[in-house]
Amino acid sequence: MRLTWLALALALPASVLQAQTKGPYPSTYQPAPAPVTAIVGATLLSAAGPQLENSVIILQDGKIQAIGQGLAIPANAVVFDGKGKWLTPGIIDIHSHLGVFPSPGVPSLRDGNEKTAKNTAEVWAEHSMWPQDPGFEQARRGGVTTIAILPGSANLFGGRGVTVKNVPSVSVQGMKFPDAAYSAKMACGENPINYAARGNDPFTRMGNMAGFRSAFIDAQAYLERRNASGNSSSFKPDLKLETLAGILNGEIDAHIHCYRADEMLQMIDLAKEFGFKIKAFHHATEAYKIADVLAKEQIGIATWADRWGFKLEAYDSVPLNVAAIEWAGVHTMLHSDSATLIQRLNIEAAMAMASAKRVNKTISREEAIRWITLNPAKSLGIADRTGSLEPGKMADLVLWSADPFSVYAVAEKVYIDGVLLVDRTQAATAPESDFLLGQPALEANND
Amino acid sequence: MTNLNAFLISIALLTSSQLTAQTLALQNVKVHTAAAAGTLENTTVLIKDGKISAIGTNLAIPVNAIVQDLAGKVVTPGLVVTDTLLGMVEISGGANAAETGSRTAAISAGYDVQYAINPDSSAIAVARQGGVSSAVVIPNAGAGNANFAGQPAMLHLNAKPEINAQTAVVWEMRTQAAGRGALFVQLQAELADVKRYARNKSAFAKGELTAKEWSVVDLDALVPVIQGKKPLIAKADRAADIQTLLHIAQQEKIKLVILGAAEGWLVAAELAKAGVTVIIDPTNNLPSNFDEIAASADNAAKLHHAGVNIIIKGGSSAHDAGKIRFFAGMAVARGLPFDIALQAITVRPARLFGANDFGTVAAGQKANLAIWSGDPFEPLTELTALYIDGIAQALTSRQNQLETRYIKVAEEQL
Repeated sequence: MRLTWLALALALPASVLQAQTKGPYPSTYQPAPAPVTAIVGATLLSAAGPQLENSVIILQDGKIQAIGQGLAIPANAVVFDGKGKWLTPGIIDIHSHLGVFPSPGVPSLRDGNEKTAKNTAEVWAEHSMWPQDPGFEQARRGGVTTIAILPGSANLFGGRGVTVKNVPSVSVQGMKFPDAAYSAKMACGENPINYAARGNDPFTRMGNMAGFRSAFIDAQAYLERRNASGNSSSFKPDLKLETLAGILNGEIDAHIHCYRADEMLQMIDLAKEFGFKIKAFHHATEAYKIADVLAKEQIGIATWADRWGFKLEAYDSVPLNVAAIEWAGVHTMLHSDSATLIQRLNIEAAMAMASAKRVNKTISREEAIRWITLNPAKSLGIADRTGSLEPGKMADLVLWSADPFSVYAVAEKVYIDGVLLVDRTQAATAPESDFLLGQPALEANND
Repeated sequence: MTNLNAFLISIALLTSSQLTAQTLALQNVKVHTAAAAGTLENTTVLIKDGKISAIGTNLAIPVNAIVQDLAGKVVTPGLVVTDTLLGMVEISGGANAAETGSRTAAISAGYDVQYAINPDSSAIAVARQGGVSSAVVIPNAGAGNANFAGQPAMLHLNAKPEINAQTAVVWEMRTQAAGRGALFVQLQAELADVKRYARNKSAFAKGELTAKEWSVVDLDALVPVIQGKKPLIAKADRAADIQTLLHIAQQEKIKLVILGAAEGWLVAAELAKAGVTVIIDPTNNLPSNFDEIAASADNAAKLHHAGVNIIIKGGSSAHDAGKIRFFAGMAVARGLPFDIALQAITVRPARLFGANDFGTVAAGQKANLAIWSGDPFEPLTELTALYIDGIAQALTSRQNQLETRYIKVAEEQL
């Protein structure tokens, strides 16, 4: 099988390396069969419409079958009482390093950044991702159902990211979100320069820009050669240039780690110079300084509520950043970039909501829930299938014990494709990670 | 010029109002006292001369008191954030703006945080905006693979910050450096030296202290620890290491505190029996390394229910100090009683680090008070005022000025 795919990849370099199931290393994810399920009486935030009180949601064949009030419940349904509880779409984290920088953080598992050169666009995060990272289960217990796993940001081009369903699996292929677009991770600012401190270029921000430009000039020439070959089987693909060419022809989404406003504007000009679209800036703690430009250019922003000061380029972060860009019409998202923060993106959203109150404005729950569900789904190109609670979409959802923007809310039940994968009303079971299974220290019924 | 004048006038006003503590009556408030009184509904807190003079429903209000009707508001003690680099780090990493510990192997236990705190750090105002009135600033172990990290300070976040120095001594495992088989042996040898020195200081000059090449400042810092007058804060996570430390502390009659304690719940009964306080991050639930295989979000609740005195910490970064209330809330979400969580970020750290005059809302305590729009642990709750020594603190930071400069709605609020 593997040989077949390799042959195909060599034969069809232009198209085959793109979509996740059609290319090599395809998704093998198949949701387990699940009973017809109805949750009755919860307050529902769909991320697509207004808050719905006393809702009924029916899950069937892995999909959301119906949502409404007073719906007839199929006779064969497993019914849960949602009274006093809240339903939201499953949370989507658009920036995580679970599995590639896993727990335990031992040197032999630091697989998230091939920082041997300023440009390692040839590497794919999925080839590093360790499905046994215990962080996946803890993220799931925080309501996270879909994750974009990105390579690290110490170099200009870190490689390709992978979008996964947060399901237990023995392989990354068993988690890959079917037919999701690939992303490419780029990084500006301090990280690539610090990497240079070990004796390589770039040494400065102007070196960063020169590195980006040279790479895209190479990619343009590569694209021309590839097109001229007419997809001939004799054309030898270059893994690094395949990723860069994918950015240029729009098949691979550019996700750029960038903090400062002036550097984001440089990157926007870079994108114009080479004719590609920037899907999203990540971290972007100074997005509020250029909110109108970001809105006009339709570039998404994935950031935190108010993390700041951990380096100089994050010094001007402000708590009103998220609300300000939302109000300016920017496609706004919250991300974790952390194995602990991913477990509480709902609280991160609440913190960003709260900052609006300080200036006597309001961010509604309907708006805030989109930051961690539908909006990242859109940026990952999977919003047609998940990210909101709507009939026909994947049954990826969370039943919260309370208002999800309360610090006291816990994800009581988490469904992925209709399969109940977290149920806190049941006694704790063995840890899902093989790494933790049977550890003597855990035999005392740890949670 | 007009702007400058307005600015100078506002500074003058701010300064004059902050110099004198007024007599204040905060009426119709709900008070979480963090003391035996628990929660008081619909009551009045009277502040006089920078202290809480009375709490109750039928208080005689002095004629000169400024009366504030705060119906619907919630009062807690000003929060105390434990294990932070607040004041030491302006920006993490480089730029001559971050000191996290000793940079010379010659000084370890004697490293004194008070001199590393910059009272003008912009992070202090941000911490205040999270209701924090005091911070226990704890250094990291420094140069030369030293295990002793130095002496924490209690930083009070007044407009002109005040510092109570040398509140304890911190010791860090650093297992990768010497290895457990060496470092615990070394610790016992060093404590034996300190004991000898405490009895007779001439032991140093006579060359009788042989565990290592000592600096006299390190020895002096450790004397109150060996005498049981100040706590030894030991950073450790693995259950077996905690047991070893308990054993050494019992032998040497040291007042031990465990900081970290990811696997603390596994030895909760022993910790409770020894009366050892444990400082934990309740969100630490991942096996980051082989010392934390049993890390669990239930750590806080399990330790508490076993009778252990716990203190809650968050991230130790200077910038996250104001988020301590959320860590308390997340511990409550995982089974810790609310009152305990509040004590764990107020009175408990105050008492552990030697202060008896603040940390609860009780008559006689300093008027360090946070006023909230609702439940103090909820992110959607706002801090509406923060008093330190009875003085209302400005709740603005450099971040707000950036917001005002760039964000229209923030500018309109001016």
